[in-house]
Amino acid sequence: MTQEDTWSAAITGDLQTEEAPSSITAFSGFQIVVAIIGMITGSMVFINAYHLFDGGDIPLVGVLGSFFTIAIPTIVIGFLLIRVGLDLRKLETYAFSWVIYGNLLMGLMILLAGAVFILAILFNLLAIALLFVPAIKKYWWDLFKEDMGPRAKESRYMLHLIRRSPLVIAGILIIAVYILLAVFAPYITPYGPTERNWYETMRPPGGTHIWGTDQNGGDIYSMVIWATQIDLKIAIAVVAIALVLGSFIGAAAGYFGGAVDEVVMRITDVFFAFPGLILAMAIVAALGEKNLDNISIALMVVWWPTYARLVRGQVLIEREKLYVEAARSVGASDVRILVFHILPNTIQPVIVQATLDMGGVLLTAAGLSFIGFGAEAGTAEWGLMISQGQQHFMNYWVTFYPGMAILLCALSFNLVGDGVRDILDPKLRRR
Amino acid sequence: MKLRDYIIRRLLLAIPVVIGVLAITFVLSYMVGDPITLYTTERTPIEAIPGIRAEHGLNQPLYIQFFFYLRDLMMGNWGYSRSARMDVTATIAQRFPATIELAMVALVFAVIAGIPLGILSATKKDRVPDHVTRVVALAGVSMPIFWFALILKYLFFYQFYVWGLPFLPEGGRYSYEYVSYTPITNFMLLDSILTLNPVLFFDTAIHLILPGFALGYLTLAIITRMMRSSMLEVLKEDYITLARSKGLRDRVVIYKHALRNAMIPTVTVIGLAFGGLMTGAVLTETIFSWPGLGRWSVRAILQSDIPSINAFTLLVAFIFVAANLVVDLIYGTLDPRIRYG
Repeated sequence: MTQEDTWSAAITGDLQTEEAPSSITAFSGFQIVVAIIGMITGSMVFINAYHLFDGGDIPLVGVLGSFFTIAIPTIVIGFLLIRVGLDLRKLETYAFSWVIYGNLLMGLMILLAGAVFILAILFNLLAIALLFVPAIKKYWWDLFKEDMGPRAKESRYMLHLIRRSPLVIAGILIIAVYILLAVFAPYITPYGPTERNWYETMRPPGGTHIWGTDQNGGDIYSMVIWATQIDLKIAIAVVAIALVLGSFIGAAAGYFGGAVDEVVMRITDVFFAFPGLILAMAIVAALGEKNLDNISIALMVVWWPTYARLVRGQVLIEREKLYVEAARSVGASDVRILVFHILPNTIQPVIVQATLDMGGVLLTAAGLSFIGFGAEAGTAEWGLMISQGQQHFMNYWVTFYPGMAILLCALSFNLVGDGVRDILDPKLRRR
Repeated sequence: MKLRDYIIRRLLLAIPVVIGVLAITFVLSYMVGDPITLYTTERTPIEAIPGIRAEHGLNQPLYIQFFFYLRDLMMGNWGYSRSARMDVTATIAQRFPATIELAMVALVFAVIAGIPLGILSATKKDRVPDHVTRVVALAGVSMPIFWFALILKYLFFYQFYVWGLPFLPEGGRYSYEYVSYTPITNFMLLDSILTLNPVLFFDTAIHLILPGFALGYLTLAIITRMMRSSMLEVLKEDYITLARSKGLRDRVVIYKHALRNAMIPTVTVIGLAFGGLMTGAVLTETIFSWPGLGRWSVRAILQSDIPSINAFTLLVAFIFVAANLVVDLIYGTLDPRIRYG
C-alpha cells in the first residue's frame, strides 16, 4: 500500500488497521533440538579438547578441522564475490538475488554444521570410550600433565582464589543471568521488542505490565529484556575486535621495536588525546549514518589503542625472557615465537582489561545511543529507551528500569574485572 | 635530569600528539561530507561550484588543504556554526565558560568528597565504612551518568515538589524569569561576585547543585578508589611503621606522613579525570539544558555542522592534552623519582 493509498483510504474511512506481526519469534522444534545438541556438543568439545587436540596424534581432527576452516570461508567469500559482481553490473534477477543465495548458503552452513556436530559427537564418544582403556587414559593424562601441568596448577590456584571472593562470584552470576536473559528473551517476555499498544501508554508498573509502559505503549519489561541481546552483542563485539586488533598491533610494536614501535606508540598517543565518547561521537558523525553498526565501529576505533599499549608493555617484558631465547635458538620464526610463545603469556592482564572494558563500552554505547547516535527510534535498546523517556522523567519507570539494567550489567563486569585483577596481582596475593 | 630539561622534553613530546590530533580532526571533517557545502546553498547554480571550489582552495591536493586548515586555525578563522547561528569562535567564547564552570564545580565536589572517603576506606580497611565506600565507588564507575542525572532530577525536582519540599531547579544556568544577568566573563559565579549580586550568586549556585553532583560522581568514584589503593600502598611503607613506633597518634601518621605521598598518584587521576568530565558534560548538559559546549556539540552533530564538530573535538582534545601535560609536570615536580627514573 503506497502513501497515497493510505491517505485516500483514511479519507474514505475504510482504513484497515494493519495486523501487528507476531512479534514473539518462537523457534521451531527442530531449531531447539539443534541448539540443544549444539550446546551439549560444545561442552563436550570443551571437556575433551585437551585430550584430543593436545594429544596431537590423531591426524583426522587436524585434517577435518582444516577442511572446515577452509571450506566455510570459501563459500562465504565466493558468495560475496558473486553478489558484489552482480551489484557492480547492476544485474538483479531472482536466480542471483539475496533470497535464494541466502537460503542456499544457510542450507550449506546447516549441512556443514550438522556434519561437524555429528562428527564432533562421534569423536567425543570415541574419546570417552577410549578413556575406559587404562593404557590410553594414562598415556593421555601423561601428555596432558607434561604439557599443561604448571598452567593447570596455576589455574586451579586461581579458581580457588576466585571461589573465595564473593564479589567476583556475584559478578559472574549476574553476567550469567544476563546471558540467559538474552538467549531466552523470546520465552520470558509477554511482548515483542517493537510491539506497541496505543491504548495503554504510560501505565504505571503493575497489572499486566509489571514494569509499566512507555509513552508509545511499549512494555518496559519486555523491551528491557530484549535489549539485553543488542547491548551485550555490541559490548562483546567491540571488545573482542578491539582486543584482537590492538593485541596484534601492540605485540608487533613491542616485539620488533625500533621505528615500528615508535610510530605505533605515537598513533596511540594521539588516540588517547581524545576522551572516548567524544572521539566516538566525531567518528559516528564522519561515518554518516547513525545506527548501531556505526556506533560499534566508532567504539572499536576508540578502544584498540588501550590493548595495543597493554600488550606492547607485556611483550617488552616477555621478549627478554629465556624461553624466547630458547625458542629462537631452535630456529622458530618471529611470527611463531610471537603468536605461540609470547602472546599466551601476556593474556592475563588483557583478559582483565577486557572484562573492565565491557562495562565501559556498555556505558559509552548507551551514552551515544542516549544523545541520539544509536539505533533508530523504537528499537529496544537501553540507552535509547532512557533517551526517549527523558521528557517523561516524572514517570520514573520509563527510565528507571533500563538504567538499572545498564548499571547492574556494567557493575557485574567491573566486579569481575576488579576482583580478577586483584587475584592476578602477585603483589596483592602475597599478603 | 634537571627539572628544566624534563619540562622541555615533555613539551617536545606533546608536539607530535598535537599534530596527530589536528590530522585526525581534519580527516574526520572531510569524511562528514564535501566541505563545499559550507559555501553553497541549494540555490547556488551548478556552474558556480568549480569557481567556489577554486576560491576556497578545495581543488588543491589534500596536504595543501591541510596547511590551509592549519592556517585558518592559527588565524582564528574557525568558520561559521550553523547550529548556533554565529561564528564558531564566538560560540566557544560564549559556551566554554558554562562548561568549565560546571566541570570545576564537579571537580571540586569530587575532590572534597573523594579524598576523605578514600582515606576513610583505607584506614578502616575491610570494615563497614570500607564496604560502603567501595559500593559507592563501584556504583559511580558503573552508572550511566545520564540516567543518574535523570533520577536526580526526578527525585529533587519532581518528587520534592510533589512532597511540598523546597525543590531544586530542573535545568538551565539561572532563573531568567526572576533574575537579570548581563554577561561579563560568562562565568556566572564570578560575574555575580564582580557585580556584588548575592541573589544571582545563590540562584546560580542552586542551579549548579544537581548537574555538578551528577557530573562529579564518576570522578568522585575514581578519586576514591585511587586514594584508597595509594593510601594502602603507602601505609605499608617502613617510614609509616617508624612513625607509629615513635608513638605518634594515628591522625598525625595518616595526615602528616602518609597523605602527602598517597596524594601523588591521586593528583594524576584528578588531571586525567578532566577528560571524563568533558565526556560527562556532553551527557549532563543535554539533560539539564545547560547552555555549554556539550549540548552544542550534540546538536552540531545531529545537524552535520562540520566546523562546530571540528572545533569541539579539537578543543576537548587540546584541553585533555594540556591537562595531561600539566599533570606530568606536577608529577615530575612532586616526585623526583619520575625525573631520574
